[in-house]
Amino acid sequence: MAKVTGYSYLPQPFQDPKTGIVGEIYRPMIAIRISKDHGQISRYFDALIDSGSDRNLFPIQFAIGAGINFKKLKQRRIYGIGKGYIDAYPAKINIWLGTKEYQTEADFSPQQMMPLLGRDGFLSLFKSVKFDETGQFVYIEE
Amino acid sequence: MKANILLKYENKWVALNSNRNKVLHAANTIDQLNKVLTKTKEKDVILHYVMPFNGNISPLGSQNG
Repeated sequence: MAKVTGYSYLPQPFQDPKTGIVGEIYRPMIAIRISKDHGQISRYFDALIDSGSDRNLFPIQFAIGAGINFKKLKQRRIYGIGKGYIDAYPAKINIWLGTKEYQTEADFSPQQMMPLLGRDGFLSLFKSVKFDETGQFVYIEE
Repeated sequence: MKANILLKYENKWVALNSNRNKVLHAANTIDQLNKVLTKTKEKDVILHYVMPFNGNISPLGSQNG
């Protein structure tokens, strides 16, 4: 039987560009942990579920913490909005959602601050992922 | 969790308690924050990056370089 888990969006401070007033914005973020093979599991960290990202993208410090030697990995170029790009290192990792472990891949970059959970490597792990913008919940169906 | 607990920590990494109602520690980088947490031996925390307040997050696409 399918299991659906709902995660409340998390609020962060946000400055209204029109008024300059700092209020809040709710983003679909969830706490995950990562590990490499059978190595130590990281601390929990909040990652943004980003359906616009092709792949998972994390700060490179998480790779170092998980014992991944990124210097041996082939660089990948990540493009976003505009003409810019960042360099990242793809690696096989485990993502932990609660106590459940998923074998997957992520890119790690020294230029990335916000951990992003993308389609290939996170959303692809589940039967469905639904964003409820009105209720500000994300529902993950396993 | 309430956003106002993060107001002092723009563009920093913070360690939240498991109930997400208190910032336990903050640092400019993940490495600095991890060092503090290793010293204090706190395990039941959630690391959280506080985005710059005046910015939106934009989607990224990727391809092999």
